[in-house]
Amino acid sequence: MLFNSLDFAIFLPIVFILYWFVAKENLKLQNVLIVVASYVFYAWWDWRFLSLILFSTIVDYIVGLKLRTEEKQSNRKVFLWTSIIVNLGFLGFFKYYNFFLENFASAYSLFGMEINANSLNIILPVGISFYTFQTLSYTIDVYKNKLEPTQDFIAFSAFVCFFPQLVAGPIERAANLLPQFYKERTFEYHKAVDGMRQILWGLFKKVVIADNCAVFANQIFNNSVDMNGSTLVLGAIFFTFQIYGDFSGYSDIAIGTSRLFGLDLKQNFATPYFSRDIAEFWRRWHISLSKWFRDYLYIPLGGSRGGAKMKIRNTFAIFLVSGFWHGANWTFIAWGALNALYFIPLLLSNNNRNNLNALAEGKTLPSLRELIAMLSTFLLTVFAWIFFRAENINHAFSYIGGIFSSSILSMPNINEKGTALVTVCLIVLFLMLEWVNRIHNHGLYRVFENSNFYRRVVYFILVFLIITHISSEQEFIYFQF
Amino acid sequence: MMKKFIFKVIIELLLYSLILMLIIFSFRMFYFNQEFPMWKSKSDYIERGNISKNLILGDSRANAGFSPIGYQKNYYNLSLGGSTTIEAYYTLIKVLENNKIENIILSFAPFHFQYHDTFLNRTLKFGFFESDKELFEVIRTSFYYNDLFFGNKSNDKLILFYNYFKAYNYYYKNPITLLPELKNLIYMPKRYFLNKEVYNKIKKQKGHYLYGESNSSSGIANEGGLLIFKASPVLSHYFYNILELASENNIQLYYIATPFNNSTFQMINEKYFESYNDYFKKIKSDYPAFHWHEKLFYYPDSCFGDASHLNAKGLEMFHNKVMLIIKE
Repeated sequence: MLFNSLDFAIFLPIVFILYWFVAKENLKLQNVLIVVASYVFYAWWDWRFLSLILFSTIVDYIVGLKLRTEEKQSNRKVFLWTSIIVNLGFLGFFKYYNFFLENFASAYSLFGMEINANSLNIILPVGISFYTFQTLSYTIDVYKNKLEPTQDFIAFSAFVCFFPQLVAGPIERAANLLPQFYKERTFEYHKAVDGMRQILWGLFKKVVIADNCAVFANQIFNNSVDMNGSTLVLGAIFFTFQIYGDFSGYSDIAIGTSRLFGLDLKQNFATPYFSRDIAEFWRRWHISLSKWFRDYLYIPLGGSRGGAKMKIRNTFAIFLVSGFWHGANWTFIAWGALNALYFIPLLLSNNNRNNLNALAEGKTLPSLRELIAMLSTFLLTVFAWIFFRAENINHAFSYIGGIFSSSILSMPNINEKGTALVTVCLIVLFLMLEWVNRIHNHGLYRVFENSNFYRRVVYFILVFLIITHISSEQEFIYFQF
Repeated sequence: MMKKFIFKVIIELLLYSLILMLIIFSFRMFYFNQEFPMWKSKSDYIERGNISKNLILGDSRANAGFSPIGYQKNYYNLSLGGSTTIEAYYTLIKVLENNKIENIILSFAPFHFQYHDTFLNRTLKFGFFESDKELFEVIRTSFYYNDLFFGNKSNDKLILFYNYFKAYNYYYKNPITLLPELKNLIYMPKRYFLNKEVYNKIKKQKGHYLYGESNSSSGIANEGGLLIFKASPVLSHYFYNILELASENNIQLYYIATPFNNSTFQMINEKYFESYNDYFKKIKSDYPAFHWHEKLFYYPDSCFGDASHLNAKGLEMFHNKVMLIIKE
């Protein structure tokens, strides 16, 4: 079920009413309702893959209980590895099987050996990368005695499959979400109202910004050979906003929806395009995944404690795995590698934690220095997104070659220039609202606080923009990851 | 708190819906395409009264093919792009309420006797019907003949009812049905001025409007892909209603087909022509006073501004032909 569909518009109020009126004051029943609603939400896409979630849930629940009672370290390790193998096994099979097969076959053919590699027609289960990481973090935390394993199977199931964040995150930690399923929830008016605002903001980002930019990004990337340099730059910029609007829009809707049910999810994006360097960008972009890799990969590898060589190795490890997590394609690995190259100079010069303070704090506009830093970081990310969006490595290089040609000085040449211009205006409106709310959780947190009328005008404009753009239900990009 | 929240959400939704409905009803010239001012100019003409005694009723091909300026008698072209005998019948009903009509030229593309492709998107969206009684009448006729003239043919009653439900949604301007057009408010800020221009132009030209403006078109009109002419029972029903109404009011009714372009004509098979002629012969035998003036024919591609509509050169050629018929 897509957030931007009529199905969800009907589904959400029904679950909301059942949750607060029927299952009211009955924690167990509320949790059961969340599990059932989440399974319905997932089955709407393909019921067959529910078995994967259920199996993963049972395995990690049992592993958690075993880790609680088992004291012998070697046995504990066996349980941990059981969970890791099951979870990563599913992920590896469904997501990476064909990739490895094809690359092994290509590698063998380089040595003149032909192997018969029959790729399988595998459907990638939606959200598998997200819930796999979520359950893995639970087992690892229990193994490291950072978390008390749960004995409540329903609460654990709700933690694994909680429908707002099931298919595209944020990737929640058990330490944050699981305890919320133990506590009695009371309806909080202001939380729910702000949740609605965040849903509205998320829909605006997805339906208006991302889907509009997608039209032009697709047009330009799919015909990049025939486009001049300036058009290719424009295509990369459109994709930059498409991917951000799409993914952060999903997170906003997920967080807002959770708040309607009295549950808090972690912030996943914090105005990343206002970052002053790449390190700050990665503290603001897909925060739940970055932190996951930091805690379960980077730090166990030694983090930044060792010498320069180790720092470089660990940085490459985290960025390459992060790239590969996004998809079984060399383009994602190249995207990760490029980000590692951006990041390493900051790390080696100890400048990776320079910009921890809020941007332009207490000021309306950034200083010139901040502006230049923001723009240069933005351009670096735009450049990296080319690899992310390209069909393959050759396409990425030919795209970049097209940009750095004499035609970069010519006028952009795209169809429907008027629509493109309006889209640019909408992006500007979007950035303005993001800027005003850069220290808050979402772009509608504070809008015309002193005027009820103007605030409603803004809401109406957003609602109007959403309903006029929602005619075609576009899938979220991150579903494929 | 919970009740307050739900109450607030409902109130906000109602408020936004109200504003949306206000926009939908008040700014139609701002978001509809250029067909809307054409339809509007004609309904305004009828509303103003003092209507010409000689009318042209038909679809967009008639709209482009009959230019009343220069006819000996005072004609006015009330053709509506994409319309069928249904709209022609209800136009005639409206006109006859306060006026006396002497002659009517009727002209539709053969395709428009078979299927109504713009019933939802123009007739209902543009608010052609004056009341839901008229729509109910059309729906009832459709149900009687089991003929879904505006949707995919199906014997399934559920599909039939779903389409009727859809029709009422369009009639009552459910905002969901207008979403593609409302987008024009954002992306086409000049839409109002373009529509106003079309409105004034069509008013000045006594209802005539040239669609395609190319020097030539070898595009294939809808009939090019059809194997046989089989009139929709509902559209036929309204054709007979027009004939009946004309007979009751002593109106001379002329049926003059507009030409195809050569490219389309070559693609139409013989059976199609035969079944089309048989259909009109039957009507002529039922209503001997009905003047059926032309079998299907063609002009060179250079006379067409697009696949279906005459350009200025084609109009001139056809104009001479129409003048002769009127003279007769």
